[in-house]
Amino acid sequence: MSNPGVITLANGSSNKGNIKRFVVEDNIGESIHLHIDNMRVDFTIDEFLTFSETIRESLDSIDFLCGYKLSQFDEHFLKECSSHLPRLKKIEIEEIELSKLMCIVHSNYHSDLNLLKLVPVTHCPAYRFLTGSGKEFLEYGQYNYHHVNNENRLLEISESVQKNGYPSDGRYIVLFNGQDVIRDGQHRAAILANLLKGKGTVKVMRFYFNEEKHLIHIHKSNILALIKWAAKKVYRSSRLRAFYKKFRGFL
Amino acid sequence: MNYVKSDDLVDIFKLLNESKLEYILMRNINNELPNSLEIGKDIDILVKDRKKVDEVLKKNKFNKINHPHEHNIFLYGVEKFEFYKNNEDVLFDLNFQIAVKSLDAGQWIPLDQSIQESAWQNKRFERAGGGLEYWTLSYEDEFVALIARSVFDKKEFQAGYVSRLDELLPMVNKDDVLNKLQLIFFKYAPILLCQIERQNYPDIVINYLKFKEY
Repeated sequence: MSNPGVITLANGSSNKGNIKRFVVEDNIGESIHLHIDNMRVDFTIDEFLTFSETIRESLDSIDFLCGYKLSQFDEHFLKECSSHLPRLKKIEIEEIELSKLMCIVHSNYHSDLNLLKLVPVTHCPAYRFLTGSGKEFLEYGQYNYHHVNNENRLLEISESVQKNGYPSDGRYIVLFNGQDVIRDGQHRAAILANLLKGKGTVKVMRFYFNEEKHLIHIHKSNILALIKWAAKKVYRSSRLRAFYKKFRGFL
Repeated sequence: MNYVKSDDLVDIFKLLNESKLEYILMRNINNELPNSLEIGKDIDILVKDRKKVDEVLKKNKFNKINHPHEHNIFLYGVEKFEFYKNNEDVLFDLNFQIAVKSLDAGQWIPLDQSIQESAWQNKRFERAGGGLEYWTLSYEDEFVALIARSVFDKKEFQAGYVSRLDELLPMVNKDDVLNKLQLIFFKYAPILLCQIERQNYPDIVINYLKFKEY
């Protein structure tokens, strides 16, 4: 019996490392499945919440985040940077001018070429949307939780910042090492920039790692993306040529 | 608005019936058949024998054309859909299983095997207006299939579907329907049925996504 109502809650699968498949699925109405390679563990929702709380407490107790608790971070952000976390050396809180913060923005070209650029907070899609100067944010590609759209998400965070202030629950905008590039908290930065008219300072959390693999090199990453994109195009057109050569007699 | 000629539709179903081809018309929302089927809209039929249907349709001047979902992912034995069209703009969408689009990545997934078997075992012959006669799903199977299609494929209950479900509700065996819904929606099935009885259609999908009692 297959359940069509399956939502992937998290996918940590990777070709590197010992575990290749690590997926958490919500099989609505049935159970939560945790797939670890060929093994599957079934949970009721209550069991899964208890299980994840136990894991959370365990990670906090081994001081996985250098004095900070998992609840202070967005789960999706932690998952995205999880490969760097074993090399995390320290986390420091500091104050920085809003105008110095840079945002990573994705731009699509030819519909399938995704390039990155660094822009000040006052040029990011969320800020432009908040100030009424750009609606491209509505279609901007970003990770959202199921059934949440860009606008809902931004307005919800904005409401929370205005109601609870910033930082709330010890959750800060996150930067890595010496780069003033926002790695988590771009929406909050846009909201604060809007509230403070782009001026003033904000407190941020800076992660320091033992190595430099996590640093953003925009030009390098765009060149790589461009090479991959062009290689794919060439491969496709050469496949087309091979197909034509093979079947031209029938055409 | 341009419609497919009703005489053409009546004749084609007559041909299908005479050919002894095993088929089931999966739905006739808003009673579009035979008088108000817009040109370009397809007719979903469930068929068993791919070879035979191909033979019958080609013999009756239908041509196989590309299907818009041909590059979709089909899981658990669901066979790809096929489009057949004739010069009178009659467009058949051939389904080989009752399948729905999964919430996750939109792969096509079959409804439970017992629902597939029930579709064939309990099919009924419908004599609709305008001389149109066709094989279709039992009231219970149609009811279940319409709900599944609304939740998974459409992500909403459209007016035509709501009106057909309301029409079917007093005619269906509720125990049978509930058993089948449990094979698709598991513990949400009784709540879903209750919402349909209360005509709370707008909240069914969102309540399903938020459902936690399992």
